[in-house]
Amino acid sequence: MAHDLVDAVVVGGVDSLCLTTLHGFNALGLVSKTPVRPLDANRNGINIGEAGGFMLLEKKPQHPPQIVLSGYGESSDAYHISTPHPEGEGARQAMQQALDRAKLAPSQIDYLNLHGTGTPSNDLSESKAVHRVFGQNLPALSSTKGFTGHTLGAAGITEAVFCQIALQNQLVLANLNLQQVDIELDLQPVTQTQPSSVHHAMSNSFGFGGNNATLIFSLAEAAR
Amino acid sequence: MIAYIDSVSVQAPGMEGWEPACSLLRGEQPYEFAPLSKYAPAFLPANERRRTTDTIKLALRTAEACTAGYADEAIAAMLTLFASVDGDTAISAQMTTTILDDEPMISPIQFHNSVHNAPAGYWMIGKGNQQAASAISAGDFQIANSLLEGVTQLDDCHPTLLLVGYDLPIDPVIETFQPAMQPFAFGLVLSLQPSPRSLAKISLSITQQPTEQASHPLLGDNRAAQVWPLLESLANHQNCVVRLPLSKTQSVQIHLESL
Repeated sequence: MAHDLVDAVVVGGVDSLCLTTLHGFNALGLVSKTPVRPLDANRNGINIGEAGGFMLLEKKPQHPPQIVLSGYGESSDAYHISTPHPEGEGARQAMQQALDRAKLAPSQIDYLNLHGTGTPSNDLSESKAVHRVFGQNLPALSSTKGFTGHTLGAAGITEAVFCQIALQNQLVLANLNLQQVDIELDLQPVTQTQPSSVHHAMSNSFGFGGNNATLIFSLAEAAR
Repeated sequence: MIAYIDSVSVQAPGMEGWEPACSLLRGEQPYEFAPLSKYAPAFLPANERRRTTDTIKLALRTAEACTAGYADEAIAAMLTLFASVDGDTAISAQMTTTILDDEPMISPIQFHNSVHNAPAGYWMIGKGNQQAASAISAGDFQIANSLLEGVTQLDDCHPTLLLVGYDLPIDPVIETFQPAMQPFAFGLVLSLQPSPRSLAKISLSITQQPTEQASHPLLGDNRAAQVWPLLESLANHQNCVVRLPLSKTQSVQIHLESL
């Protein structure tokens, strides 16, 4: 769209349960035997979920839009194929790039939807990246994978839609299944879905191969 | 849309490197089959190197050949786009066979190698590159989509991109009907601005017309070989206009101007 090749783009992802994926994650010791507990002191892996989602992005919509995609960032960990960078360096870069593109300060993000898979290493690495980007001023944040499981190829669009829901309904979403926050993460996740003023919502998605992506969605009147 | 081709590489049986490929592309030598030499990605730490498969190695050797003339910092600053229609079908075959077992034990290494961006992941690790890396598959419309994706990613902050297109014959377990194809891979370094490195300028435009693609006489239905006419122009230092299918109804027209 930026090159004026097209007026609109349908974006999205779909993932259905696949035995090679299930047994593969099991072989890596990353599948939890219980419902996933992102950010919990006793988290022990992912649940695999199924989902599909699409969004229509338009450059010049006919009607004034309520929500805009205001920023995005992409990076590579360059660290390990299936283990996140221990200090969350790639994740930090993706979040920072998205903020720069959106011309926003970290303090302007009202809600952060974490990648938050519920594996010990992902949540720790991501928490370090979040602290490095946001400093003392953390936004309301949660992982919604307690609701959906990790929907893999559909996780990015699913959580983008959760950010859309947060902006449209002025609420922040619960970090489901959280019993006791891991003190090492030093985060205070949203424990119940609740009304909240949300102008800018950020979503993190990371993947095997060390790929990191961050999106920022904003209410149109708040976007710059 | 305009970009510059600053470097090119080819890796295929009988075409191991740009110079050997050139004599074929210029019609100076007839094609003669010779298996690809043994290759190990020496730029990777030993533990990562051991985990690479034939598919990953074909992608990596092509990327390495294409960036051989660049400093480490320049390689680490490039955006990266790995394009393969079928990915690692040998791994898919092994995993799908394993899950038929009563107690399937998939190898964790095989599993993490099974993602389409595995070669990109290894490349970024080995080169300490923290830029964005993409891995795409576009079937019959592979090369038009790869070039369009590559050129549209370039901007002032990210002025160079390494594009690697690669495909190997499909494992028989995955495809009972196996399209006849030879392994083939190419690499291009695309740049937003001209430089003394620039070999050619390419201008891309989209046309609302379909383009039929025939099988390649040597490489068969390997979609990476759709790039062949551009390589012929580069090898012969000639200008050309090439149309490649972008979808069933659209094409990308590429005007290549030799520099």
